[in-house]
Amino acid sequence: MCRVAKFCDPTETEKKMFKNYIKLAFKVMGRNRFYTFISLFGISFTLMILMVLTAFLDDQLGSHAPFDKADRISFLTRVVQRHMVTDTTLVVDSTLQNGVMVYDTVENTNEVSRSVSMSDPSFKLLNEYLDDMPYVEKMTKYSTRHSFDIFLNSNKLTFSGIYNDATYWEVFSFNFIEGGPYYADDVKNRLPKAVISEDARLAYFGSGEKALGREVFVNQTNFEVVGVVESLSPSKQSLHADVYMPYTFMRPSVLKENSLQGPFEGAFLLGDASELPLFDDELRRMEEVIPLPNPDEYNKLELGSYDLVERFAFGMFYEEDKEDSMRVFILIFGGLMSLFILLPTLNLINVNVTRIMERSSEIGVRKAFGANTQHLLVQFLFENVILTLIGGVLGCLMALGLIYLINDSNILTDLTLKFNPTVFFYGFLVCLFFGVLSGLLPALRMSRLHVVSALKENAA
Amino acid sequence: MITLNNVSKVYRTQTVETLALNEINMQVEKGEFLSIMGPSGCGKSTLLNIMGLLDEPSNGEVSLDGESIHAYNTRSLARFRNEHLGFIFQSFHLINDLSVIDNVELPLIYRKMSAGERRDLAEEALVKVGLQNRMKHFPRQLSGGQKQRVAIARAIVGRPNIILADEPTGNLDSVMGNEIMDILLSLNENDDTTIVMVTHDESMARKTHRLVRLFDGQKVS
Repeated sequence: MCRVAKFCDPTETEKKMFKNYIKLAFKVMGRNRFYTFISLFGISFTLMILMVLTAFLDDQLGSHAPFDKADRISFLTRVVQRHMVTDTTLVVDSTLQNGVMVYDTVENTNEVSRSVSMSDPSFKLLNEYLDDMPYVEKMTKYSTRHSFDIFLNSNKLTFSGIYNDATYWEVFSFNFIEGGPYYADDVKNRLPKAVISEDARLAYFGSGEKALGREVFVNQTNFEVVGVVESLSPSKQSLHADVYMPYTFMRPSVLKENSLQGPFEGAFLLGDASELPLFDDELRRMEEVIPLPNPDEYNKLELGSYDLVERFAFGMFYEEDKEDSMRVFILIFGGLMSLFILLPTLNLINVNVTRIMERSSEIGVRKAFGANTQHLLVQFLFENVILTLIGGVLGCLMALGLIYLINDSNILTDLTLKFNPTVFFYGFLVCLFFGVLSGLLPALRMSRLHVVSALKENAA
Repeated sequence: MITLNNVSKVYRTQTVETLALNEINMQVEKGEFLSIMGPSGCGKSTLLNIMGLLDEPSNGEVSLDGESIHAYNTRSLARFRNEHLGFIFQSFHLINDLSVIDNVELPLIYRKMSAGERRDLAEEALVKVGLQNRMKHFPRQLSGGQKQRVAIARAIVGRPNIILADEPTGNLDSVMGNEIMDILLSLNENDDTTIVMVTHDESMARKTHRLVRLFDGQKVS
């Protein structure tokens, strides 16, 4: 308790004081350029990597075209058929009781998978068994990517193509530069209409040419171009192609195939995102109901449904099951992000601790001349916050620069990374948090240091 | 001005207990220039730290202008030091990151004062120690004597009533030491500043008003 009135008056937070702290922080930064550089580099580099990485993930998985309804979509990309057999093991236990051998037998029965076949779903599976599922608002079926050689004026072009139905254009939101999609009747009546990508238009018709109403010759058919869509990055699985055509132009044998496995994929747009687990339950129910074409060969069916992130992870790492893919995905991206945040943070803490230890003499002098713990804490806090703010601005500029370079150089084809202010804000908060923490903890310790000890520590 | 009543200081470690000061009674009068002498480890610096409110006695009482400091909390002590005391250390303790003028301004930062006022007072203090031409320099660019003059300017900038100097000439050669001593003497004579100085140097001590000798933590004269 303070009992002497004239010295008990608590220090007011003075604007002048803050101005001083800011000035001092700049002075300290200016005098220790190497330390400042290391700290700024750590902060800005962390933010830059964080921004570019999240911009990449956002581009792939964010809720924007063509995946603006992604939170309600379930992809059916995997059909697994197993041959399950009952495996019986007999465990015999023998014990000697009163000179007589007694046997105890236990029979264990297990279901064991003898053979397994994994593939994409077939047209038949999607068309006959899964086209009227509960909770589903719209369902689209489309082929996996095909590759076509196109000979044009003695040049060979290789186009990737997807055969789809008309709902495809409703489930996924493509940006049409010219025209629009084809419709259900066009597909049903096998009208030779196609949608091509912007890149395909350039390759096929040349620079500056319009494509609407003109013809492209793909797989022995002349298709009329009814729409041109903005090109997508090849990493946009299920969607990236040069040409999109009605599935009725596929070989009839593919469409009539009796197997449950084939070259197709299905996307189910549900009424509400909360119904995804219910839809999954329905799929489990269907696994029991759908008759297997050859029960002697395979007698168990598994339908693998994925949300967009799982679909991305699966397409990227192609692990045997969904969980494994997700694990690898989280491990790689989560690990990378943590590493990029953690390393500079640890470095910052280390630099700050060492730096503050070196300043024990300064702390002693300041205390002797009237600074109290609060003054010193605020001073060190200002130094860190200002450093982090500058690092944040630099990081932002560097991220913008790198994103511009990546987009401009086309290293990743048709990938347009966007600077995400929300991610920047959170990344910056993380940096600020660690910046403050890394400065505050040693500052707290040092500001409590006894003034005589502080002066002795650096009595050089 | 400063009164010490039966002041003792004991340093304890796990195994050893050292009596640094043993029941010291003394008084420093206003306007006095007092020097404290004694062999190394006799408790001179401890005594000065206690007088300067940088350290607390284990026993006894320290009074300033008749008021016991026992009642002050850490924050009030810091404020008292800021307004009434100035310190000069043997190893200068200047902040290398700050320029000479910024070092001198340091005590004023913790007062309600405009930047302009601070600058004026700091310049005035530097003029007193003859370093008005070195304001923008950094401590590394100065000689030992110049550093100590900056430290004196810092000690007097807040116009304290008492200056506590811990071997201010200890790290300097005799010429520079004399220069520093002259500055301290003129501060005492012209500005009526009370000065308590710890020294090893008998010739310096003889220039002051009064000499207190310590031996093994006890006042011997």
